[in-house]
Amino acid sequence: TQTFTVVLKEIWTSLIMWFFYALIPCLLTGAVAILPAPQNLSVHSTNMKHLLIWSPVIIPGETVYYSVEYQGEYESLYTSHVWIPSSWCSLMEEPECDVTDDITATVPYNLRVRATLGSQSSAWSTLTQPFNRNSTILTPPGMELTKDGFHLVIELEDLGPQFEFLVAYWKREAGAKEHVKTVSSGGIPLHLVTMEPGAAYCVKAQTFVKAIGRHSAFSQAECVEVQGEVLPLALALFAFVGFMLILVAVPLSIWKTGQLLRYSCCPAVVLPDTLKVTNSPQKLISCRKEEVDACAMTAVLSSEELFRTWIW
Amino acid sequence: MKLLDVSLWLLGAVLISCSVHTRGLRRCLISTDMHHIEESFQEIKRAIQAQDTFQNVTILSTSETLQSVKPSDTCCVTKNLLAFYVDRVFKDHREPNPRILRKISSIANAFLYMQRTLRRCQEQRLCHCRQEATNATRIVHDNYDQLEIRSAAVKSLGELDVFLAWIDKHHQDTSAA
Repeated sequence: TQTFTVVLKEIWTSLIMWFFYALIPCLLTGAVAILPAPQNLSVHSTNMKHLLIWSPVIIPGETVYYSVEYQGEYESLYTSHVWIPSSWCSLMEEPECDVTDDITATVPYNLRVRATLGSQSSAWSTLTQPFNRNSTILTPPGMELTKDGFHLVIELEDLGPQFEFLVAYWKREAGAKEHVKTVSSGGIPLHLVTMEPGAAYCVKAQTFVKAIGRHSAFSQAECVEVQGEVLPLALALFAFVGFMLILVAVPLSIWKTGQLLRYSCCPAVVLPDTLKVTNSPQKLISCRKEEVDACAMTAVLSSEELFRTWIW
Repeated sequence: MKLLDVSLWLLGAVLISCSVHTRGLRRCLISTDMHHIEESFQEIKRAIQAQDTFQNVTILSTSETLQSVKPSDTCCVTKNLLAFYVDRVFKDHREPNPRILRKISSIANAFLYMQRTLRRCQEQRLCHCRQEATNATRIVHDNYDQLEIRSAAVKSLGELDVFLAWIDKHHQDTSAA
Protein backbone atom coordinates (compact mmCIF):
# COMPACT_ATOMS: atom_id res chain seq x y z
CA THR A 1 0.00 0.00 0.00
CA GLN A 2 2.87 2.38 0.69
CA THR A 3 4.19 1.87 -2.86
CA PHE A 4 0.69 2.47 -4.18
CA THR A 5 0.41 5.76 -2.27
CA VAL A 6 3.83 6.85 -3.51
CA VAL A 7 2.88 6.06 -7.11
CA LEU A 8 -0.36 8.03 -6.76
CA LYS A 9 1.51 11.00 -5.34
CA GLU A 10 3.95 10.94 -8.26
CA ILE A 11 1.14 10.82 -10.82
CA TRP A 12 -0.59 13.72 -9.07
CA THR A 13 2.61 15.81 -9.03
CA SER A 14 3.28 15.19 -12.73
CA LEU A 15 -0.27 16.14 -13.59
CA ILE A 16 0.10 19.45 -11.73
CA MET A 17 3.44 20.10 -13.46
CA TRP A 18 1.97 19.43 -16.92
CA PHE A 19 -0.91 21.71 -16.13
CA PHE A 20 1.49 24.54 -15.30
CA TYR A 21 3.58 23.85 -18.39
CA ALA A 22 0.48 24.18 -20.47
CA LEU A 23 -0.30 27.51 -18.82
CA ILE A 24 3.14 29.03 -19.53
CA PRO A 25 2.45 29.92 -23.19
CA CYS A 26 -0.73 31.66 -22.13
CA LEU A 27 1.08 33.67 -19.48
CA LEU A 28 3.86 34.56 -21.90
CA THR A 29 1.54 36.09 -24.56
CA GLY A 30 0.87 39.13 -22.38
CA ALA A 31 -0.98 40.58 -19.47
CA VAL A 32 -4.38 40.65 -21.26
CA ALA A 33 -5.14 37.42 -23.02
CA ILE A 34 -8.88 37.91 -23.56
CA LEU A 35 -10.56 41.24 -24.33
CA PRO A 36 -13.23 41.76 -21.65
CA ALA A 37 -16.84 42.06 -22.81
CA PRO A 38 -18.65 45.38 -22.19
CA GLN A 39 -20.66 45.44 -18.95
CA ASN A 40 -23.76 47.12 -17.50
CA LEU A 41 -25.86 47.26 -20.66
CA SER A 42 -29.04 49.31 -20.34
CA VAL A 43 -31.55 51.08 -22.59
CA HIS A 44 -32.65 54.65 -21.93
CA SER A 45 -35.82 55.43 -23.86
CA THR A 46 -37.61 58.79 -23.95
CA ASN A 47 -40.30 59.83 -26.45
CA MET A 48 -39.64 56.83 -28.71
CA LYS A 49 -35.90 57.51 -28.97
CA HIS A 50 -34.03 54.47 -27.67
CA LEU A 51 -30.40 54.65 -26.56
CA LEU A 52 -28.36 51.55 -25.63
CA ILE A 53 -25.47 52.39 -23.29
CA TRP A 54 -22.79 50.32 -21.56
CA SER A 55 -19.63 50.71 -19.49
CA PRO A 56 -16.63 51.33 -21.74
CA VAL A 57 -13.81 48.77 -21.97
CA ILE A 58 -10.60 50.58 -20.99
CA ILE A 59 -7.32 49.34 -22.47
CA PRO A 60 -4.53 51.83 -21.70
CA GLY A 61 -3.03 53.31 -24.84
CA GLU A 62 -5.52 51.59 -27.18
CA THR A 63 -8.81 52.55 -28.89
CA VAL A 64 -11.52 49.95 -28.43
CA TYR A 65 -14.37 49.72 -30.97
CA TYR A 66 -17.89 48.41 -30.33
CA SER A 67 -20.46 46.62 -32.46
CA VAL A 68 -24.16 46.15 -31.69
CA GLU A 69 -26.56 43.45 -32.88
CA TYR A 70 -30.28 42.97 -32.24
CA GLN A 71 -32.91 40.28 -32.41
CA GLY A 72 -36.64 40.85 -32.41
CA GLU A 73 -39.04 38.50 -30.68
CA TYR A 74 -39.73 36.86 -34.06
CA GLU A 75 -36.06 35.95 -34.45
CA SER A 76 -35.72 34.76 -30.85
CA LEU A 77 -38.76 32.43 -31.29
CA TYR A 78 -38.29 31.16 -34.86
CA THR A 79 -34.64 31.71 -35.88
CA SER A 80 -32.76 32.06 -32.59
CA HIS A 81 -29.33 31.91 -34.22
CA VAL A 82 -30.06 34.98 -36.35
CA TRP A 83 -28.77 38.33 -35.02
CA ILE A 84 -29.01 41.44 -37.15
CA PRO A 85 -26.26 44.09 -37.19
CA SER A 86 -27.53 47.45 -35.95
CA SER A 87 -28.19 50.07 -38.66
CA TRP A 88 -25.79 52.66 -37.25
CA CYS A 89 -23.52 50.91 -34.78
CA SER A 90 -20.74 48.84 -36.31
CA LEU A 91 -17.22 49.47 -35.03
CA MET A 92 -17.83 52.77 -33.28
CA GLU A 93 -15.79 54.37 -30.52
CA GLU A 94 -18.55 55.72 -28.28
CA PRO A 95 -19.99 53.34 -25.65
CA GLU A 96 -23.56 54.14 -26.71
CA CYS A 97 -25.83 53.36 -29.66
CA ASP A 98 -29.05 54.94 -30.97
CA VAL A 99 -31.14 51.84 -31.73
CA THR A 100 -34.33 53.79 -32.63
CA ASP A 101 -34.17 52.68 -36.29
CA ASP A 102 -33.66 49.05 -35.26
CA ILE A 103 -36.56 48.76 -32.78
CA THR A 104 -39.39 49.05 -35.31
CA ALA A 105 -42.11 46.87 -33.76
CA THR A 106 -43.80 46.83 -30.37
CA VAL A 107 -42.32 43.50 -29.30
CA PRO A 108 -39.42 42.63 -26.93
CA TYR A 109 -36.00 43.00 -28.55
CA ASN A 110 -32.72 41.39 -27.42
CA LEU A 111 -29.63 43.57 -27.80
CA ARG A 112 -25.97 42.58 -27.56
CA VAL A 113 -22.60 44.38 -27.74
CA ARG A 114 -19.01 43.28 -28.12
CA ALA A 115 -15.67 45.09 -28.04
CA THR A 116 -13.04 44.82 -30.78
CA LEU A 117 -9.33 45.66 -30.59
CA GLY A 118 -7.37 44.98 -33.74
CA SER A 119 -8.01 41.35 -34.66
CA GLN A 120 -9.29 40.46 -31.21
CA SER A 121 -12.98 40.49 -30.30
CA SER A 122 -14.56 40.09 -26.89
CA ALA A 123 -17.46 37.80 -26.11
CA TRP A 124 -20.96 39.15 -26.75
CA SER A 125 -22.57 40.88 -23.80
CA THR A 126 -26.40 40.71 -23.91
CA LEU A 127 -29.00 42.96 -22.31
CA THR A 128 -30.33 41.16 -19.21
CA GLN A 129 -34.01 42.02 -19.86
CA PRO A 130 -35.32 42.31 -23.46
CA PHE A 131 -36.43 45.83 -24.32
CA ASN A 132 -39.96 46.64 -25.52
CA ARG A 133 -40.55 50.12 -26.90
CA ASN A 134 -43.90 50.41 -25.13
CA SER A 135 -41.89 51.09 -21.97
CA THR A 136 -40.60 54.39 -23.37
CA ILE A 137 -40.99 57.43 -21.10
CA LEU A 138 -43.45 59.90 -22.65
CA THR A 139 -43.01 63.51 -21.55
CA PRO A 140 -45.65 66.27 -21.81
CA PRO A 141 -45.04 68.22 -25.04
CA GLY A 142 -43.53 71.70 -25.14
CA MET A 143 -46.01 74.27 -26.48
CA GLU A 144 -45.88 77.93 -27.47
CA LEU A 145 -49.01 80.09 -27.30
CA THR A 146 -49.27 83.35 -29.28
CA LYS A 147 -52.04 85.89 -29.85
CA ASP A 148 -52.76 87.14 -33.35
CA GLY A 149 -55.40 89.78 -32.64
CA PHE A 150 -58.22 87.74 -31.15
CA HIS A 151 -56.88 84.46 -32.55
CA LEU A 152 -55.14 82.04 -30.23
CA VAL A 153 -52.35 80.22 -32.08
CA ILE A 154 -50.51 77.18 -30.74
CA GLU A 155 -47.24 75.60 -31.89
CA LEU A 156 -46.34 72.19 -30.46
CA GLU A 157 -42.92 70.53 -30.18
CA ASP A 158 -41.99 68.41 -33.22
CA LEU A 159 -41.48 64.86 -31.89
CA GLY A 160 -41.56 62.98 -35.17
CA PRO A 161 -44.16 61.15 -37.28
CA GLN A 162 -45.18 58.67 -34.57
CA PHE A 163 -46.62 61.40 -32.34
CA GLU A 164 -50.13 62.89 -32.29
CA PHE A 165 -51.24 65.61 -29.88
CA LEU A 166 -54.43 66.20 -27.91
CA VAL A 167 -54.94 69.85 -27.04
CA ALA A 168 -57.49 70.82 -24.38
CA TYR A 169 -58.59 74.44 -23.98
CA TRP A 170 -61.27 76.24 -21.94
CA LYS A 171 -62.40 79.74 -20.98
CA ARG A 172 -61.22 80.61 -17.47
CA GLU A 173 -64.62 81.08 -15.84
CA ALA A 174 -66.85 78.99 -13.57
CA GLY A 175 -68.58 76.12 -15.34
CA ALA A 176 -66.68 76.56 -18.60
CA LYS A 177 -66.69 73.60 -21.00
CA GLU A 178 -63.38 71.97 -21.96
CA HIS A 179 -62.81 71.57 -25.71
CA VAL A 180 -60.38 69.01 -27.16
CA LYS A 181 -58.66 69.26 -30.52
CA THR A 182 -56.46 66.56 -32.15
CA VAL A 183 -53.28 67.79 -33.84
CA SER A 184 -51.59 65.30 -36.14
CA SER A 185 -48.06 66.73 -36.04
CA GLY A 186 -45.95 69.30 -34.23
CA GLY A 187 -43.70 72.11 -35.43
CA ILE A 188 -46.48 73.97 -37.30
CA PRO A 189 -48.45 76.96 -35.92
CA LEU A 190 -52.13 76.13 -35.65
CA HIS A 191 -55.20 78.32 -35.01
CA LEU A 192 -56.90 77.06 -31.87
CA VAL A 193 -59.80 79.41 -31.13
CA THR A 194 -61.06 82.94 -31.74
CA MET A 195 -61.17 84.53 -28.28
CA GLU A 196 -63.90 86.74 -26.87
CA PRO A 197 -62.73 90.14 -25.67
CA GLY A 198 -62.05 90.43 -21.96
CA ALA A 199 -61.81 86.66 -21.44
CA ALA A 200 -58.90 84.48 -20.35
CA TYR A 201 -58.27 81.12 -22.04
CA CYS A 202 -56.22 78.21 -20.70
CA VAL A 203 -54.55 75.48 -22.76
CA LYS A 204 -52.84 72.16 -21.97
CA ALA A 205 -51.59 69.37 -24.25
CA GLN A 206 -50.57 65.71 -24.22
CA THR A 207 -48.99 63.39 -26.77
CA PHE A 208 -50.41 60.11 -28.12
CA VAL A 209 -48.27 57.41 -29.75
CA LYS A 210 -50.48 55.19 -31.94
CA ALA A 211 -47.82 52.47 -32.31
CA ILE A 212 -47.81 51.69 -28.57
CA GLY A 213 -51.31 52.98 -27.69
CA ARG A 214 -50.12 55.28 -24.90
CA HIS A 215 -50.60 58.94 -23.89
CA SER A 216 -48.17 61.19 -22.07
CA ALA A 217 -49.25 63.24 -19.05
CA PHE A 218 -50.82 66.63 -19.76
CA SER A 219 -48.49 69.62 -19.77
CA GLN A 220 -48.93 72.46 -17.27
CA ALA A 221 -51.88 74.65 -18.26
CA GLU A 222 -50.92 78.00 -19.77
CA CYS A 223 -53.37 80.89 -19.81
CA VAL A 224 -53.65 83.98 -22.03
CA GLU A 225 -55.89 87.05 -21.67
CA VAL A 226 -57.40 89.32 -24.27
CA GLN A 227 -57.96 93.07 -23.71
CA GLY A 228 -61.52 93.86 -22.60
CA GLU A 229 -64.16 96.43 -23.75
CA VAL A 230 -62.41 99.51 -22.18
CA LEU A 231 -60.36 100.15 -25.23
CA PRO A 232 -63.20 99.89 -27.75
CA LEU A 233 -65.37 102.23 -25.57
CA ALA A 234 -62.68 104.90 -25.41
CA LEU A 235 -62.18 104.56 -29.12
CA ALA A 236 -65.94 104.94 -29.73
CA LEU A 237 -66.14 108.07 -27.56
CA PHE A 238 -63.15 109.58 -29.25
CA ALA A 239 -64.61 108.81 -32.64
CA PHE A 240 -67.95 110.42 -31.67
CA VAL A 241 -66.34 113.64 -30.44
CA GLY A 242 -64.24 113.82 -33.53
CA PHE A 243 -67.28 113.32 -35.72
CA MET A 244 -69.21 116.11 -33.98
CA LEU A 245 -66.27 118.47 -34.39
CA ILE A 246 -66.09 117.66 -38.06
CA LEU A 247 -69.86 118.18 -38.37
CA VAL A 248 -69.51 121.73 -37.01
CA ALA A 249 -66.15 122.69 -38.44
CA VAL A 250 -66.78 121.69 -42.04
CA PRO A 251 -69.82 123.96 -42.78
CA LEU A 252 -68.13 126.79 -40.91
CA SER A 253 -65.01 126.56 -42.96
CA ILE A 254 -67.00 126.25 -46.18
CA TRP A 255 -68.91 129.42 -45.34
CA LYS A 256 -65.72 131.28 -44.42
CA THR A 257 -64.02 130.15 -47.61
CA GLY A 258 -67.01 131.28 -49.60
CA GLN A 259 -66.86 134.70 -48.05
CA LEU A 260 -63.15 135.00 -48.70
CA LEU A 261 -63.63 134.05 -52.31
CA ARG A 262 -66.44 136.60 -52.70
CA TYR A 263 -64.30 139.43 -51.35
CA SER A 264 -61.24 138.50 -53.31
CA CYS A 265 -62.74 137.97 -56.75
CA CYS A 266 -66.12 139.64 -56.88
CA PRO A 267 -66.32 142.43 -54.29
CA ALA A 268 -69.55 144.58 -54.14
CA VAL A 269 -68.67 148.15 -55.11
CA VAL A 270 -70.20 150.69 -52.65
CA LEU A 271 -69.64 154.44 -52.94
CA PRO A 272 -68.70 156.19 -49.71
CA ASP A 273 -71.26 158.75 -48.42
CA THR A 274 -69.14 161.72 -49.26
CA LEU A 275 -69.21 160.89 -52.94
CA LYS A 276 -72.92 160.19 -53.08
CA VAL A 277 -75.03 162.38 -55.42
CA THR A 278 -78.05 163.84 -53.59
CA ASN A 279 -80.78 166.32 -54.87
CA SER A 280 -78.30 169.17 -54.71
CA PRO A 281 -78.57 172.24 -56.95
CA GLN A 282 -74.94 172.03 -57.73
CA LYS A 283 -74.52 170.39 -60.98
CA LEU A 284 -71.77 168.03 -61.73
CA ILE A 285 -69.07 169.75 -63.66
CA SER A 286 -67.22 167.97 -66.37
CA CYS A 287 -64.17 169.92 -67.30
CA ARG A 288 -62.44 169.56 -70.50
CA LYS A 289 -59.67 171.68 -71.92
CA GLU A 290 -61.87 173.08 -74.80
CA GLU A 291 -64.55 174.00 -72.47
CA VAL A 292 -62.42 175.86 -70.02
CA ASP A 293 -64.37 179.01 -70.63
CA ALA A 294 -67.64 177.25 -70.30
CA CYS A 295 -66.40 175.82 -67.08
CA ALA A 296 -65.30 179.18 -65.87
CA MET A 297 -68.72 180.70 -66.83
CA THR A 298 -70.53 177.92 -65.14
CA ALA A 299 -68.40 178.41 -62.11
CA VAL A 300 -69.17 182.18 -62.07
CA LEU A 301 -72.87 181.51 -62.41
CA SER A 302 -72.96 179.41 -59.26
CA SER A 303 -70.40 181.36 -57.31
CA GLU A 304 -72.97 182.65 -54.91
CA GLU A 305 -73.95 179.19 -54.03
CA LEU A 306 -70.36 178.19 -53.66
CA PHE A 307 -69.59 181.14 -51.41
CA ARG A 308 -72.56 180.32 -49.26
CA THR A 309 -71.48 176.67 -48.81
CA TRP A 310 -67.87 177.69 -48.13
CA ILE A 311 -69.02 180.00 -45.35
CA TRP A 312 -71.21 177.36 -43.79
CA MET B 1 -98.82 49.68 -29.61
CA LYS B 2 -96.96 47.86 -26.86
CA LEU B 3 -95.97 45.11 -29.31
CA LEU B 4 -94.68 47.74 -31.74
CA ASP B 5 -92.62 49.40 -28.99
CA VAL B 6 -91.10 46.08 -27.94
CA SER B 7 -90.21 45.12 -31.51
CA LEU B 8 -88.66 48.55 -32.09
CA TRP B 9 -86.55 48.16 -28.96
CA LEU B 10 -85.45 44.70 -30.09
CA LEU B 11 -84.51 45.98 -33.54
CA GLY B 12 -82.53 48.80 -31.98
CA ALA B 13 -80.70 46.40 -29.69
CA VAL B 14 -79.85 44.07 -32.62
CA LEU B 15 -78.56 46.97 -34.71
CA ILE B 16 -76.40 48.26 -31.86
CA SER B 17 -74.91 44.84 -31.16
CA CYS B 18 -74.20 44.34 -34.89
CA SER B 19 -72.37 47.64 -35.16
CA VAL B 20 -70.38 46.82 -32.02
CA HIS B 21 -69.46 43.45 -33.50
CA THR B 22 -68.21 44.81 -36.82
CA ARG B 23 -66.53 47.82 -35.19
CA GLY B 24 -64.86 45.46 -32.76
CA LEU B 25 -62.59 44.05 -35.49
CA ARG B 26 -61.54 47.55 -36.53
CA ARG B 27 -60.82 48.48 -32.97
CA CYS B 28 -58.59 45.39 -32.81
CA LEU B 29 -55.93 46.86 -35.06
CA ILE B 30 -56.14 50.38 -33.76
CA SER B 31 -52.59 50.81 -32.61
CA THR B 32 -50.81 49.15 -35.53
CA ASP B 33 -48.66 51.35 -37.71
CA MET B 34 -49.68 49.93 -41.15
CA HIS B 35 -48.03 52.81 -42.93
CA HIS B 36 -44.63 51.89 -41.48
CA ILE B 37 -44.98 48.23 -42.51
CA GLU B 38 -45.97 49.22 -46.06
CA GLU B 39 -43.03 51.61 -46.25
CA SER B 40 -40.61 48.87 -45.11
CA PHE B 41 -41.90 46.54 -47.80
CA GLN B 42 -41.74 49.16 -50.59
CA GLU B 43 -38.01 49.51 -49.95
CA ILE B 44 -37.30 45.83 -50.67
CA LYS B 45 -40.20 44.99 -53.04
CA ARG B 46 -38.26 45.14 -56.28
CA ALA B 47 -35.36 43.06 -54.95
CA ILE B 48 -37.70 40.37 -53.57
CA GLN B 49 -39.98 40.20 -56.63
CA ALA B 50 -36.91 39.95 -58.88
CA GLN B 51 -36.03 36.67 -57.14
CA ASP B 52 -39.45 35.19 -58.03
CA THR B 53 -39.01 32.93 -61.06
CA PHE B 54 -42.59 31.54 -61.31
CA GLN B 55 -44.44 34.53 -62.71
CA ASN B 56 -47.61 32.71 -63.84
CA VAL B 57 -48.51 31.32 -60.44
CA THR B 58 -49.97 33.06 -57.39
CA ILE B 59 -50.09 31.82 -53.81
CA LEU B 60 -52.51 34.29 -52.26
CA SER B 61 -54.95 33.68 -55.17
CA THR B 62 -56.51 37.07 -54.65
CA SER B 63 -59.73 36.45 -56.60
CA GLU B 64 -60.51 33.18 -54.84
CA THR B 65 -59.45 34.16 -51.39
CA LEU B 66 -59.02 37.81 -50.43
CA GLN B 67 -61.58 39.36 -52.75
CA SER B 68 -64.32 36.90 -51.85
CA VAL B 69 -64.02 37.32 -48.08
CA LYS B 70 -67.18 38.58 -46.36
CA PRO B 71 -66.83 41.38 -43.77
CA SER B 72 -67.72 39.03 -40.93
CA ASP B 73 -64.89 36.68 -41.94
CA THR B 74 -62.24 39.42 -42.17
CA CYS B 75 -60.86 38.96 -38.65
CA CYS B 76 -60.51 35.18 -39.08
CA VAL B 77 -58.84 35.42 -42.50
CA THR B 78 -56.47 38.15 -41.26
CA LYS B 79 -55.52 36.03 -38.27
CA ASN B 80 -54.95 32.94 -40.42
CA LEU B 81 -52.88 34.70 -43.07
CA LEU B 82 -50.75 36.42 -40.43
CA ALA B 83 -50.03 32.96 -39.00
CA PHE B 84 -49.23 31.71 -42.52
CA TYR B 85 -46.56 34.37 -42.94
CA VAL B 86 -45.15 34.19 -39.41
CA ASP B 87 -45.10 30.37 -39.09
CA ARG B 88 -44.08 29.46 -42.65
CA VAL B 89 -43.02 32.18 -45.07
CA PHE B 90 -40.55 34.24 -43.00
CA LYS B 91 -38.98 31.10 -41.56
CA ASP B 92 -38.57 29.36 -44.93
CA HIS B 93 -36.93 32.34 -46.58
CA ARG B 94 -33.13 32.61 -46.29
CA GLU B 95 -31.98 36.17 -46.83
CA PRO B 96 -28.23 36.85 -47.24
CA ASN B 97 -28.52 40.61 -47.80
CA PRO B 98 -28.41 42.46 -44.41
CA ARG B 99 -30.37 45.45 -45.74
CA ILE B 100 -33.26 43.23 -46.90
CA LEU B 101 -33.01 41.06 -43.79
CA ARG B 102 -33.50 44.16 -41.63
CA LYS B 103 -36.73 45.08 -43.42
CA ILE B 104 -38.10 41.52 -43.37
CA SER B 105 -37.37 41.39 -39.64
CA SER B 106 -39.25 44.65 -39.16
CA ILE B 107 -42.32 43.28 -40.99
CA ALA B 108 -42.16 39.89 -39.24
CA ASN B 109 -42.03 41.45 -35.78
CA ALA B 110 -44.87 43.83 -36.67
CA PHE B 111 -46.96 40.81 -37.79
CA LEU B 112 -46.22 39.14 -34.45
CA TYR B 113 -47.58 42.22 -32.66
CA MET B 114 -50.70 42.23 -34.88
CA GLN B 115 -51.29 38.56 -34.04
CA ARG B 116 -51.19 39.39 -30.32
CA THR B 117 -53.74 42.18 -30.78
CA LEU B 118 -56.07 39.89 -32.73
CA ARG B 119 -55.72 37.19 -30.08
CA ARG B 120 -57.16 39.64 -27.55
CA CYS B 121 -60.16 40.11 -29.85
CA GLN B 122 -60.49 36.36 -30.14
CA GLU B 123 -60.74 36.09 -26.36
CA GLN B 124 -63.55 38.62 -26.54
CA ARG B 125 -65.27 36.39 -29.14
CA LEU B 126 -64.98 38.98 -31.90
CA CYS B 127 -62.99 36.79 -34.31
CA HIS B 128 -65.12 33.77 -35.15
CA CYS B 129 -63.96 31.40 -37.94
CA ARG B 130 -66.66 30.11 -40.29
CA GLN B 131 -66.18 27.35 -42.85
CA GLU B 132 -65.74 29.77 -45.78
CA ALA B 133 -62.92 31.60 -44.04
CA THR B 134 -61.16 28.33 -43.21
CA ASN B 135 -61.54 27.20 -46.85
CA ALA B 136 -59.99 30.40 -48.16
CA THR B 137 -56.96 29.90 -45.90
CA ARG B 138 -56.58 26.28 -47.00
CA ILE B 139 -56.34 27.35 -50.66
CA VAL B 140 -53.37 29.56 -49.79
CA HIS B 141 -51.58 26.77 -47.91
CA ASP B 142 -52.22 24.30 -50.76
CA ASN B 143 -50.79 26.74 -53.31
CA TYR B 144 -47.72 27.19 -51.12
CA ASP B 145 -47.15 23.42 -50.80
CA GLN B 146 -47.24 22.91 -54.55
CA LEU B 147 -44.00 24.89 -55.07
CA GLU B 148 -40.48 24.15 -53.91
CA ILE B 149 -40.06 25.64 -50.44
CA ARG B 150 -37.59 28.44 -51.25
CA SER B 151 -39.49 29.51 -54.37
CA ALA B 152 -42.77 29.43 -52.49
CA ALA B 153 -41.35 31.58 -49.69
CA VAL B 154 -39.93 34.18 -52.08
CA LYS B 155 -43.17 34.32 -54.05
CA SER B 156 -45.26 34.77 -50.89
CA LEU B 157 -42.93 37.53 -49.72
CA GLY B 158 -43.34 39.23 -53.08
CA GLU B 159 -47.14 39.15 -52.66
CA LEU B 160 -46.98 40.98 -49.31
CA ASP B 161 -48.10 44.25 -50.91
CA VAL B 162 -51.40 42.60 -51.90
CA PHE B 163 -51.94 41.30 -48.35
CA LEU B 164 -51.01 44.63 -46.73
CA ALA B 165 -53.34 46.57 -49.04
CA TRP B 166 -56.15 44.16 -48.18
CA ILE B 167 -55.59 44.61 -44.42
CA ASP B 168 -55.48 48.39 -44.86
CA LYS B 169 -58.76 48.37 -46.82
CA HIS B 170 -60.63 46.19 -44.33
CA HIS B 171 -59.36 47.90 -41.21
CA GLN B 172 -59.59 51.43 -42.61
CA ASP B 173 -61.85 53.12 -40.05
CA THR B 174 -59.32 52.79 -37.26
CA SER B 175 -59.91 56.15 -35.64
CA ALA B 176 -58.97 56.34 -31.96
CA ALA B 177 -61.68 54.82 -29.82
